Amino acid sequence: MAKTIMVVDDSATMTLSLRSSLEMNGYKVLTAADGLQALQLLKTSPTKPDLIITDINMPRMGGLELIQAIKAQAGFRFTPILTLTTESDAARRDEAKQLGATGWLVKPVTGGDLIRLVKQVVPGA
Amino acid sequence: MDAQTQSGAQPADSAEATGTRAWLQGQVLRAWAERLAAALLCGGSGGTLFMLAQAGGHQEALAFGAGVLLVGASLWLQPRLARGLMPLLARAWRPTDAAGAPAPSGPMPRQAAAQELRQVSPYLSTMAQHLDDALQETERGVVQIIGVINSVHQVSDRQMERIRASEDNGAELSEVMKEKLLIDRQLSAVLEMFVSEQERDVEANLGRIKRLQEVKALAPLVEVISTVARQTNYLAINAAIEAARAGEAGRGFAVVAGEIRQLSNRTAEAAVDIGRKISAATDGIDTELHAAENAADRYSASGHMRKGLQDVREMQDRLVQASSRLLGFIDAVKDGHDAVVEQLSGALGQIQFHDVMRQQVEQVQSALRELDEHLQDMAGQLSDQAWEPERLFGVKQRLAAQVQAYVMHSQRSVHERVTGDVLTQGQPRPAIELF
Repeated sequence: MAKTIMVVDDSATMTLSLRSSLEMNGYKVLTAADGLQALQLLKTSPTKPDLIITDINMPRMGGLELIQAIKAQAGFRFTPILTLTTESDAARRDEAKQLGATGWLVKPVTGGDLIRLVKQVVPGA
Repeated sequence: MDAQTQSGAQPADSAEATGTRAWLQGQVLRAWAERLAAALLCGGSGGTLFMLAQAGGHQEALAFGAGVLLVGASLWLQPRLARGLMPLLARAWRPTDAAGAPAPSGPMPRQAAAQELRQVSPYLSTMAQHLDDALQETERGVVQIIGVINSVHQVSDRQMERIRASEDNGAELSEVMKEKLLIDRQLSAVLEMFVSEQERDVEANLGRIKRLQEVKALAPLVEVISTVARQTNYLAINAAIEAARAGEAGRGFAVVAGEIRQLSNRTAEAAVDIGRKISAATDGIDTELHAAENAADRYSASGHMRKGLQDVREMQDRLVQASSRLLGFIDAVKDGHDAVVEQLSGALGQIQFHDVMRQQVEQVQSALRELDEHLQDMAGQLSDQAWEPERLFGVKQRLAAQVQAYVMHSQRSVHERVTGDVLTQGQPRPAIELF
């Protein structure tokens, strides 16, 4: 059965390109434009994502807050979260690690690298 | 404010007003020079064009070409001509102060500077809008590219679905061919065995029937027996005659002669009977032999059947090889599809550049807004507000504040290269880091 991946980014081109790339490689994809929308989608979606890929700098609710909120929810504590961001600040990277992120990817990440990481992070993907 | 200060401020204000007026007069002069240059060039171009059209016999193409050349030359010449006309106009209309005296030259007056600074605001807004438009344009382009990439993938996917269907059919065909080949080989072996056995039986029967034909050799012996019986009969008849001549003495001999004659008659009958039976038997043997020879001929046709079976086997072997090659081809197409997906995924990854660029441009737009705010503050303090240095948030401070807005390593690096400030410490962390 295809694994489901949630992509959270305020850039329409990012969500569109990631959706295309992941679907091409056989994954189901859910998308959200910011942290609040992502949390809402987690509540309403019948499919629980096997991996969440999130941007860091977003309006309304950013990536770090989103990681914190997801890790506080029962049922999502062990869901892996990768950040995919232009942010290179080491302090924010360390903060993401403290909050429970699985990895930190700085844009642009090539399609091949992204798929290899997804396979590495999601068992059986 | 004391009287001395007031009297001291008065000349400065008057000089500033005079300077402003002179600056404005300079602007007017420049505008008039530009208009005059444009009028001269338009008149000259129009007249030349008219003369060319007349001389060229109303040839539109020639007139059009000359017009294009003249317009180009005019555009190039106009600012230069305007600059040349400025001193002439200035001599004709010398700027004066309020009292009619020639205006003093000097630094740009505060009011003029403030007015110029206020003009920066629409300028920067226009540039920011251009950047916005460019971002939207590139975003539309990126969305279209993603659409094209998706279309390519769909085409490749459909191709792959057809190939998968062929693969299933091919694999099924290959399995069926292998099974059929096995069954056919078993049937061939059984047929081969049967045919060989039949051939052996036919040969054996033929041999036996040929041996039975030796019965025909008995026919001459029957004739010999008939001849002996006939001669014996003659002898018996002669003996009976001689016995009759002998009278009473030959009576016993006559009885023997009669018995011998009956014996010879029965022998002759038996010989005829044997001859008839031998003839009947040999006729049956001939029929059987003919049938057996026909059967042998038929079984020689089984050689053709055997060859036919061999041909079928070879054909099936070729079909099995062909289906194996088909499966190999399908595997190669699948590999090609995987490579296409990898390349398309790579292209989609490269599209992330747009998000990186968008954030860089947005940061520059934010900086331009900051700069505008600063310039408008300056304009306010130059014209109608009191000079309050502590209230003016300086450019240097604003540039330092921009550092807080940087998110990318490249932004910090550019800042470092231009300003010499050190923002990054040590080696940058890797672009991909799993915790």
